[in-house]
Formats: sequence, C-alpha cells, structure tokens
Amino acid sequence: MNIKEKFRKLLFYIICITGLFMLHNSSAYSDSHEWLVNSELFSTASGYQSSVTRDGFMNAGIHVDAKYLDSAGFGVGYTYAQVFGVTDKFDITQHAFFASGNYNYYVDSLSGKLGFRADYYGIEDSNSYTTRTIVPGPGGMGGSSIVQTTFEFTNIIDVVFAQLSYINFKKTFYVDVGYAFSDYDLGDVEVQDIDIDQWTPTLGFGWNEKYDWLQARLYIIDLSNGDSTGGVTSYESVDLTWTHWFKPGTVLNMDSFTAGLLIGEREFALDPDARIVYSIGHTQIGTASINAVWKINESFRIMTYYGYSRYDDQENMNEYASNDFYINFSKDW
Amino acid sequence: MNKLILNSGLLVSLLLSQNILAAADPWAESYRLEALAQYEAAARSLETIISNDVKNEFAVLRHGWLNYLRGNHNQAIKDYKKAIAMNSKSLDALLGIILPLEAQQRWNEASSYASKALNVAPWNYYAHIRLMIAEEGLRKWDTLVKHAHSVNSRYPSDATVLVYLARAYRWKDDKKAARKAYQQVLERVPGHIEATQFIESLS
Repeated sequence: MNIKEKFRKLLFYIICITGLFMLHNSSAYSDSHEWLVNSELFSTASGYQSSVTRDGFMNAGIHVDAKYLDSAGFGVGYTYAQVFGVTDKFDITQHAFFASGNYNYYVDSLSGKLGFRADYYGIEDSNSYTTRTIVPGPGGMGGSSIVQTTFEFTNIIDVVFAQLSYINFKKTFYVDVGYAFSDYDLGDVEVQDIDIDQWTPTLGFGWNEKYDWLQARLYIIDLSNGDSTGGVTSYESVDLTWTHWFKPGTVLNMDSFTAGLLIGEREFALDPDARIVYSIGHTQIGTASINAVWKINESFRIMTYYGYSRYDDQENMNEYASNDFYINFSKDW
Repeated sequence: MNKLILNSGLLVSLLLSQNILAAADPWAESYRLEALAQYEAAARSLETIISNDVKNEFAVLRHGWLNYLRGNHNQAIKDYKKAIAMNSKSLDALLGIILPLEAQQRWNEASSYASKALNVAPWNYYAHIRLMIAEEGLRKWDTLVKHAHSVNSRYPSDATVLVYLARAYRWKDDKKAARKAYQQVLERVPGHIEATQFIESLS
C-alpha cells in the first residue's frame, strides 16, 4: 500500500468517525443553539434503456453536516454505488466519500454574504466482469467443462473543489464560481490517466417574494487527454433549474417543486450542490428532471426526484437513456 | 440698546461655550453628532475614550450602537462582542448585538444571543421580539406560533406580538387563526396597515 492509498484510507476513517461522532452528539450541539447538525440518507435507482453495456444502477449514502451559527460549517459523506453490467460487460462498484468545509463573510458594503467553500472527494471505482466459456471435453467424448475468467481493475479518483459565492441579503441574486481539479488514476493499463479541470460559474435569481428561484450553472470541463473518451477532451453544458416554493396546504402539501434541464455535454462532472462526482457515467447529453420536497415538520424533510437522461457511450457507439428515481430523507437534529 | 447688545453677547458666548464644551468632552460631542445623524463622526469622537480606557464598557456599547446606526454592522458586532466579553450579563450588549446580526440576516446567531438574553432575563420584551424576528427569518412557523402565544399571555396589550402570531398562522395557511390575531391587532392599533389588508383580502 503506497502513501497515497494510506492517506486516503486514513481520511476515510476520519470522515466516518467524524460523521458518527456528530450524529451521536447531535443533541449536545443543538442544545447549545450554536451548532445545527443535519443528516441526509438517500438512495437512487436507475434503469437503462438501449444500453449495450449496462442494465441498471443503484446507490445509497449518508451526508452529515454541522453548521456553526451562520458563520461556518463542515460536512462529511459516504456513498456506495453499483452499476449492473449486461452479461459479459463490467459491473462497477463504487465507494465515494467526501469532506467539505465552508466559511461565510458578511459584507456591509455589498449588502450580502460571501461564501468560501473547499471540498475533497475520494473515490474508488472497481470494475470487474466474468466470462464463462464452455470448453469441450477431449476427443469429442463429451464431458465439457466451463472455464471462468475474471477481469478486474480499479480506478482511483481524487477531486479537490473550491468555490467563491455571493448572495445578497434580500436573497434575490446569487453568483458563484467553482473550480474542481480531478485526478483519475485509471486501472485499465490501455489508457492514460486523466487530469480534469472543471469550472462552474453560476447565476441565480429570486423573485415573487422569494417564492421562485431560477439558477443557471455552466459546466466547462477540460481533460488532459481523450484516451478513454474517443478523443474528446472538452465538454460544455448548462444546468438550468427553476424552483417554486408553495404556501402551506396548496399543491399536494409540497414545500417546493423544482424542474431542471441539462443542455449540452457533460462527463466526469462534480455536481457542487449534490456533492457527487459522476465518475462512472458515460457522456451525459441531456437531462430533464423534476423534484418535490415535503416538509413533514420544522426539522424533517423528504425529497423525491425523477430524471430522464440521455447518454452517449462513445467506446461502443451506443446512445442510450436512463430513468432515475431518487429519494432523500433530511433531518435537523 | 445696551441691554440688547449685552444679551446678544451672552447668547453668542453661551453657544461658543457649548461648542467648546462639546469639543472638549467627547461624550457631549458624540451625542451632538448623533442628533445630527452624523453617526460615523459620533463614533469617531468616542475612539479617544476607548483608546485611553479599553475597559470602558459604556463607550464600547455606544460605539457599537453608533456603528449599527451608520450601517457598519460588522464593526457593530465586534463592538458588542467586546462589550459581552467585559460583562456577559449585560442585557444592553446581548440585545444590542442582535440588531446588526438581524440586519445581516444572521438568524441563527441572532437566536443564539436572544436565548442568552433570555437566560439573564426570562421575560424581557425586546429579547422575545427579536427572537420572534429570527424565528420568522428561519421560517420556523410552529415554533413562532407557540412562542408568540406564550409572550402574548405575558404582554396581552401588545400588538407587535400579535402581528408575529398572525404572520405565523398565515404561513401555516390557518386563515381563521390569522384573522383572529389580526382582529386583535386592530383592537390595539386601529387602522394597522398589515392587519387591515389581510382582513380585507378575506372578504
């Protein structure tokens, strides 16, 4: 085990222990009125249509965040994910964890809040598939046997992310610029490792007495080489979301409803809001999504999401679709 | 004629002496400038006092207040924190710091200081009102309803508490309860704009 792997394992254990400690002591934090601890449990299930390599996807994870008053916060999270490959194609198992910290600075001259955020993501994607070949018995006398061959390799991914944001006190205008550097240490010896730069400038506007919010985030992604992407070394897309908050007791008792649209191409992206690195997808070439949030009480929320995405698997010249269902339970302690 | 000249002379010297006094006394100068809405200059006039006597609690408090009035909320928060460090039971400081925090919409921090003020004085009116403002900012409607009812039972003649109660009911979409609370507001403040508009919107 090299130093980098040891460091990643150590960081992983620190993150797990921190998360457990925060949850275990959440009441101690909340009673002080200075710390607010929030935890989220979530899961996604996806089915693929017309994919020649993949049948489905699932993940499940936990995020724990602690916020100190309105000034600073930190969070940790872990996600387990699995891609179910079609026969003779790769299954992928993913272990992803992150640690995130943020600090807010209030600026009187700008009538708003500046936010500084830094994240680290550590991901292990284990790819494997098994082939079964029937080998006839000697001399054509029957008694054939099955030979099983397993192919395995693991991708190690490290991502660092920094973001500078501004939101005005009225919460009608938001802007941020995010930068992520991703290091893909690919286990497949036939392709070169990749370094990725991602810029995510974002604008948001609120109106209708803060009942509506429109946000546009650009994803500008540059790869150091196109070995694993059919020569493609850059992706651009825009992610548009519109959120409407409801008055209580109006539409299905929803607290909010969001409609989203991703236009353009995106691969190897880090989504700063979801805090997820899309390291095991193919090229995303469009998504339409809806989600709804129900506020059960002041401290407990449920979010459900449905998304329809289209992907381009350049290696296999295969364009396919995905239906994604997501549920998230969020609790303030 | 001589009397007029004498009186005029006395008036001029009185005015001059007041200005000289104000210039000599930074406290008087800060009050004079505050009355003229020159908050920055008023705060500056106290800085000599604070630099000569860093433990002058009242000067620090007043510096925080003047910084709040001029919209320099970060400095006001620093001043009030300094005053709290000098005297953790100071209601002036604990209530004072909430003002710039709420101006910056730092609702959690405002709640925290309001709770500290309530630990010192459990039924302090201003602490409760400022805590209710923070609860409204945090959209904690159930908490605000309970809180406003509890404060209303201690201050039954107060209209402001009833306004927060009515707002919380409005957000909870309980029109009947909101109407009742707004009607009580109108009994205390006839013609109250928010209450009148809400009740008219129902008819």
